[in-house]
This record gives sequence, C-alpha cells and structure tokens, in this order.
Amino acid sequence: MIKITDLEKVYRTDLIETVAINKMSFEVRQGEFVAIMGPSGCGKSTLLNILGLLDDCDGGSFIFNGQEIAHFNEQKRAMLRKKNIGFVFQSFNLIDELTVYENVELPLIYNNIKPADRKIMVEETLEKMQIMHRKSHFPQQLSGGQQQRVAVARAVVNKPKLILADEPTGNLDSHNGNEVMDMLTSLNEAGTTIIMVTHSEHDAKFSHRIIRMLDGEKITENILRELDYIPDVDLKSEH
Amino acid sequence: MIKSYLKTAWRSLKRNKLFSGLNIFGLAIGMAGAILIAILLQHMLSYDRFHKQEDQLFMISNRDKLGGDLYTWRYTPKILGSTLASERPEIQNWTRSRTGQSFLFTVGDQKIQNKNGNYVDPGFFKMFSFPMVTGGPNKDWDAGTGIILASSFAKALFGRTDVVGQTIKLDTSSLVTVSGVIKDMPENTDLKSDYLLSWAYANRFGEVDSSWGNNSVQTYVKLQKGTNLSAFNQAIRDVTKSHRDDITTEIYAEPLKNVFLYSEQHNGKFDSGRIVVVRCLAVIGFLLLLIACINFMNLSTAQSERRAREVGVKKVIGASRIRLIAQFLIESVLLSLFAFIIALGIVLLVLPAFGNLVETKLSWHFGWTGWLIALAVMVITGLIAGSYPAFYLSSFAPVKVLKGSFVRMGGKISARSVLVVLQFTVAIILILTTIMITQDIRYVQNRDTGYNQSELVFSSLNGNLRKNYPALKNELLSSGAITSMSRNMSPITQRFSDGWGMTWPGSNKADEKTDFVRYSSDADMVKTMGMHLVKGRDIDIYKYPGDSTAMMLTQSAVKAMRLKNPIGAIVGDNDTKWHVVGVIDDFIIEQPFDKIQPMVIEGPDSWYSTIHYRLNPAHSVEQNLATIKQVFDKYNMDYPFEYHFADDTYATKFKENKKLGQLSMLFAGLTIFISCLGLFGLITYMAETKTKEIGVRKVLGASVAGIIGLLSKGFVKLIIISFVIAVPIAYYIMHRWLSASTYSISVQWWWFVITILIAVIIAILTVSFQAMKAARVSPVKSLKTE
Repeated sequence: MIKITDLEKVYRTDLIETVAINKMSFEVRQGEFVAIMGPSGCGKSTLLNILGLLDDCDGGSFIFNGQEIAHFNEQKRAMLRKKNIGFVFQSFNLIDELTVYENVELPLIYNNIKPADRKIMVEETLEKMQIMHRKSHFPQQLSGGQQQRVAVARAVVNKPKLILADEPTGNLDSHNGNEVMDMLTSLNEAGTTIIMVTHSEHDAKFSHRIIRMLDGEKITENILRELDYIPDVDLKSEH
Repeated sequence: MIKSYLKTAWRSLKRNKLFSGLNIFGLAIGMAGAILIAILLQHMLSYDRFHKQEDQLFMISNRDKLGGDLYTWRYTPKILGSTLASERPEIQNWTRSRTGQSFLFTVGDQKIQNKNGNYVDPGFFKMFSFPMVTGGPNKDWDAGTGIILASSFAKALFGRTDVVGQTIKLDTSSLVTVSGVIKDMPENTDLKSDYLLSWAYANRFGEVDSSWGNNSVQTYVKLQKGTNLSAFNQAIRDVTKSHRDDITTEIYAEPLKNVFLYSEQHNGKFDSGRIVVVRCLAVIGFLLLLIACINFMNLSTAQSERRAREVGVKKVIGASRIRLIAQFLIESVLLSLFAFIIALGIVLLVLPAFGNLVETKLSWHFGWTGWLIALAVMVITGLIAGSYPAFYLSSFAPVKVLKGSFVRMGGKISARSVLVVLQFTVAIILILTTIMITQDIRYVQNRDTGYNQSELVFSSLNGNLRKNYPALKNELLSSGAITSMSRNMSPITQRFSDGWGMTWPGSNKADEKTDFVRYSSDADMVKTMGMHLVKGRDIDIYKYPGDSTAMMLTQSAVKAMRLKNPIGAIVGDNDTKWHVVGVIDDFIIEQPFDKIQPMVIEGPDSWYSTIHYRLNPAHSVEQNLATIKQVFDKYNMDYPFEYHFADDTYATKFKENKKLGQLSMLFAGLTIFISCLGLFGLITYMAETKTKEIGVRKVLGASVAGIIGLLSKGFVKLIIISFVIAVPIAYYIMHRWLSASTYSISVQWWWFVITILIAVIIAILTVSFQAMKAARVSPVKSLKTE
C-alpha cells in the first residue's frame, strides 16, 4: 500500500540545515499495523506528516497505492488525503465549537456525502465507539478518553483505508489508553491499515511491526506477528 | 453546509464573548454613523428632486464681470421671465419667485406674523409638484386679491383647511380671499412657503418694475422635453444685453436639482457650497465604515491563534481553503448582520437628536431600494471586514499549527500595526479638523465688527410705525428705556441691497462695475450702533433738513472711490445725487468670514425697514423691554411687539460652521471610540499571549510599571507613526479650508501638540487597564497558565 524509498526531508533556515528524514525506505502492506518509535526529535512525526500527505518531501520516492505521489501538489494531496486517510492526534484536536456528533460528521460534509447518509454513518460510528450517548455534548464536557474516542470516530467515519495515529494515548491514563488501543486493533482487524507513532513500548506491542528511528534514519525493524491476510486494495482516488 | 457554517460561526461568537462584543459593537457604531450620514445625504441630495418634471425644470442665472472678476448670481430682472417666454419656444412654463413680506395675517382675533411666503406666477402651479388640497389659483388669485395657504398655516389661522373664499387681513388694511389650500411643502425644497401670492398683489403696491438693471427675483422655466441645454443657453445668452445696451450681463439656465447643492460660485460658476459638505460627509461616512472594518480585521486576526487549530484540523480532515474562506466570510457577514441590527436601533434612537444637531427634520424613508442598498452595504461591509481574516486564517499550514509551531503574525511591520496606524491616522486628522473649525470660529467671533452689539436691539418698521415713528422715538427716549434710536434699511446683520453704476468725483468707466453695499439712516446711526466716526458727522435729518440726500461712506468705500477729501463729494446712485457728510470705520454686515465690502449709507431719500435702538444700561434689560413694549403697542397696536438682539442674530452667522464643527467633533469622537475598542481588543489579546513572558520577567525582577510600559509602548509608537502620517494630510486640508475664507485664523503649531497629546493619552488610558491587570498577575499563576 505504501512504499517509500530514500525519502528525505530537510528543514532549512538562513543559518542551519536540519535533516529530519535521511534517505529512509520501508514498505507498509495493506491491513498492516505498524508502530514507529524513537526518541523525541528523531523525525517520526515528520515522517507521519509526510505519510499523511500533510507535508511534502525533499527527495526520494513515495508510492501510495501503486502511484508515485512525491511530486503531488497540495491540492492533489488534499484530495487523496480526504478520501483515504484518517488522523488521530495525541491532543485529540476536536473542534470546541462543534458537538460530538458534528465533529464526527465534519469529514463527511467535506466529502460531500448526502445528509441522510451522513446521519446513518455518524450514528453507526458513534455506536461502534460507544459514545452515542454523548453525541450532543461539546468536547470540553468529555473526559480525555471520551474525547479520544470521538477523535477516533471522526478518523474512521469516512471508512478510510489508512489511519495515522500520532501518539494516540499520550494524553490518556492507562485505562483509557488501553481502550483506544483496543479500538485501533479492532479497526485493523477489520482491514484498516494503521501507522502509529508512539513512545510507548506497551502500545507498540499491539502492532505487527515496529520501525525504530534515530536522527531521521530507520535503525531497526522488528516483526512482532505476521499479517494473517492481505485484504483487497480498494483505495478511493479521484483518478 | 451553510447551516454548519452558521452554527460554527454562532458558537464561535458565543465562545469569545469579549471579542465578539467588541467586534459587533465597533462595527455597529461605525454602521450607525454611516447610516446617519446616509440619511442626511439622502435629504440633501433630494432637494427639489421630487417634482414630476424635474428634468425639465431650470433656474435662470446671471453672469458678468465685476471689478475684473467673473461672477454669477441667481437674482434676475422681474421682466426676464415673460420676455424669455415670449422669445423662446422651448419654454413651456415660467415663474418668478421672491420672498414675500413679513405680513401680519389677521383672521378675527387670530394674528400670525413671520410666515414664509413667495410671490409667484401662475406657471408655478404647473411646473412644481405641490398638490392642492382644495381650490387653486383662480381669478381672484390672478388679480392679486386671492391667496393660497399651506394646509398647516390654514389650520393655524382658521382651525381647518376647507377655507376657500374666506377673508384674511394682510397687515393693517389689505384684504385677500383664500383661493386654495396647498399640501404642506416638504422640507427638501428651496421653494418652501406657508403662503403664495401672485405678482399682481405686489404690483398693486407699486412693485411694477420693467428695469433690466434691477435683479430682484428668481426666474424658473420649464423647457420642452428633450431640449438641448447647451443650445438653449447659447440662444438665451445675450437676451439681457439685447434689451439694454449698457448692460454686459449674460444669462444661462441651470438644472433646478443643482441649485441647492451648488450654492456658492467661483469665477462665474456655481461649483461649490453644500456639495462640499455632501462630499465631506460622504468621505467621513466611508472612513467611519472603513475604520470599523479595520477594527474587525484587527480583532479577528488577533484571535488567529485561537482559530489556528480549528483551521488545521479542518484542513486535515478534508476542508479545502475555499471552504474555510467561505466559512470565515459567512461568519463575518453574520457579525455584520448583528452589527447592522444594532446600528438600526442606535439610528432610531439618535436620529431626532442628530436632526437637531444638523437643524434638519430628518426622517427615515429608505423605500425598498434604500433597504436593498443598506443590505448590500451590510453584506459588503461583512465581506470586506472578513476578507483579510478569512484569507489569513485559511492560509495556515495544518502541519505547523497542529505541531504547535504556528508562528504569530509578526515581521517588521505586521499587518495589524498597519491597520492600527490607518485607524489613528483618520482619527488624528478628524481631531485636527475639529480643533481647526472651533478655533477658526472663535477667532472670527472675536473679529471687530465695527459696531457695539451689546444691548443693541432691532425691530421691524411695520404697520403704523412708519407713520408714528417720530412720536415713538420721542416717547422711548423720554421713557429712559433707550439711549438712542435710528431708522435703517435693514437689520445691522443683514444686507438688503447692493449695486454698481455709482459715480463720484474722478470715477471712470471701469468704476461703474465696482459693487457697493447700500445702507440707510435717518439719524443717530453712529451713536445707536456704537460705530466709529472717522471724519465729518453722522446723517441727521432732524438737525439738517438737507440730509435727505446726505451720505456716509465707510473707509473701504473711500478707498474704492480713491477720494482724498470725501466730505462734500457728490456720489450718484439711482438717479439721486448724494452729498457725503461723514466717513465711518468699516463694519461687518454680511459674513464675518468674508472681506468687508465698500459701503454707502444713504439718507432718508432711500428707504427703511428696520428700527435699531440701544437699551439704557442704567436699567435691566427686562425693565427696558417692558417699557419699550408698552410704547410699541401704543403706536402699533395691530402688530405684536417683536425684537431681536443684534448679538444673537450675529451669532447665527456661525451656525453653519458650528454645525460642521459639531459634526466633525461627533465623528472624530466616534472614530476614536471605535479605534479604542480595537486597541482594547488588541491589548487584551497581547496580555493573554504574553502571560508567560510577563511571568518570567516578573520572576527576573521586572516592576509592574515596567510591564505596563512593555505592553503599552508598542501602541504609543503606532500612535506617533499615525501622527506623523496624519500631519501633512491634515495640514493640507486645514490650509485649503482656511484659505477659502478671507478672514480666518492661520494654522497654529499648538493644535498639533494638543492632538498628539489627546491621541496618546486616550491610547494609554485604553491599554493601561488591561496592561495593569496583566502586570499584576502573580508570576506563579502566569507561569502555571502557560
């Protein structure tokens, strides 16, 4: 599903040049759950942003669903992103002015889904995430665990094939953290590819494979368990 | 989608109550100011625009060279209208108009005086859209024995309006019957009248005048549809000349709709006057709205950090930039709508007071087109105000804002600073303009008028006063209520007559075009008015029987006539030879802002309309007036005793300028207020974003005063930059304004000092409260907050 080869990202200022990603290569197969680990500043969030098409790379190849997208402009990346990728952040990033229901509904609005369909999809997702009873609440009225559940619901409501999670349990206690990890695992088991950046060895163990980074480079790759099957690739694309 | 935008917008407004409140209130104040100006402009621009045949209505004006300069004026000979109508087939109708006398109207016991009326021709009723309530110009009216009343005047006289055929006594003897009642004329016409008499009435009292040299009436014509104005003007140009060889005056027609707006002439063209006020007001209205928009932009972008995360998240989950721009624009239009509703409320509340300020009865009748325009302005204001924040906020890169590395709007010159500078530049210009106008008025008010206004009173010479004047004067003098009295052509504050064509020893052909103001006196003018006699003596018909053709000259007249020995000189005016008996100092009879024109004061062979008298300072004003009233009532029992103080009447000459000064002050105040709302918002935001910095500085030993200085100095710097930008612009405006009058103050350096002090003090007061609040927070708390 994803194949990066010699990927590079360099941050330049007038005085210094910082190599955030240094000729990194790896592959993620459809249905895989990959954890990316490493110390702070090793480049894992930068990598996640590039994989999530939020940022561009300065060199190398990035093949997404068999298509070279390293050269895609912002508009094309945005199109691909909204159809195929869901994001879960450490700080939840819910919109304070919107209720739980409206936060989850938002990606569907941007994907021009009809209101009637939206209602079914949102309610289905909220049920699945066991947060339906809080649908009229605003984010500030929820606990951290509940907020992250809403964030996951928002990430999956559009049924993306890829979920990128950036330290999804970083702001949660162990109980709520485990719940979120269980949620991600079940999503993965249902066929969603997940790439997760984490500091937590405990969370990383939920994945199939751990990629460790240091100073913008991949240093090790450990397979924890084999992927049972490779689901059909059916990426939504504008092409 | 729209619903979602509106919902988010509404909740965002609710969430940030302070900013939303400041935003909406600032915008509402700006809009209210702009709407008030729009209402006033609508009124001014609507003058005589309501006549059905408005495009066919024209006024005839004169144009001639006087003293080397080209002049144009709107008074024409009485004979011009009928002559033009008989000579030019394009003219469908015509009428002359001249203000009627200040008649005393008597119906039974009801006596009413001082009503505005006009002498007009029958064409008047066919040209202008003033509908009749009942009756109309009939045979009586045509013959000069009928009168047409405005309905409110008819009600005041008779208590009803169905009064056709009723009789009214004008002054003491003349009887007229009511021919018709006309609907009250609206405020926005130059022809507003309480009564209309035909010229035949004036002719009955000797007003017949076929002279081409006496310009005393306004002439209006209605041209056939499609008449080419420039061709018509070419055709009528020399009509006056063709009837009298020695006159060089040309005539031309100008659209009626221009008459009110273009009230002042320069070089033979009506090109300024009220139109300048209209333009100034339009600019001020626009600036008010602009400043309110700038405020909006400033406050919205100040919240950018609060909104950045929202933008980032929305972009990540698929919102395009266009959608985000649309969202922010809808939000600002929504704000603009709230502001508009509040502005309408403010306008409804203050419209009567604003009407009083501008001394105009203003009403709100926008019609559906007006509402559409107002709505369009509201939406456009919202779009303009929201455009910058919309484009700015939607440009945030999600990866940066979500990573927390969002960089605050900065740079050497941030856009917000530019906006603050722009706001205060306008505010400073308006403060300077206000100071200039008020100082100029004060300066001109202190100008030596050339006579003593204190306790100088005048009354109309009406009714039996003409006959009983000598007895009245004797009795008043012996009563001790007055110390002196004089009969004159007009009130000392008003010119009734002027003219050229005078001759004097040594005068030449070119001198015939020198214009002199005419005045008249029977006796004691110098003493009564408190004037300064330079040479010779005062006119005194009672002491010197030959003084019926005596004349006094002002110093300017002596200069204009180049007379070395004026006493005894013979001055020819209107077929009379006047002999000069005295010279007095110049005095102001017209506009105190203008140059004093040369003036001749003619003896009793001239005419009178006014009595001036000086109250006796030995008694109180009330005592004097009570005595004077008794004597007036005795000799003029038909007329109520009316009097005017010269100083009060003179003060009304500053009315227009005072009005402008008050308007300028009002809008300067509004501008500053809106700008301060913006400053308050910005300092609040700044204090919030610098919480950590303030905490750290305090831990390191900074004092509260130091922190206040840190937060305020940036704003003070911006005010000073605004001042530097505003000064040359304001100087240019002031210079142009002041040079338009002959007598005016020069630009003073201290106006600028006062202005910068006002601006800086207001800015410091605005920011210091929030700055102090932020500076006094315990560092433990501020560091924990961060």
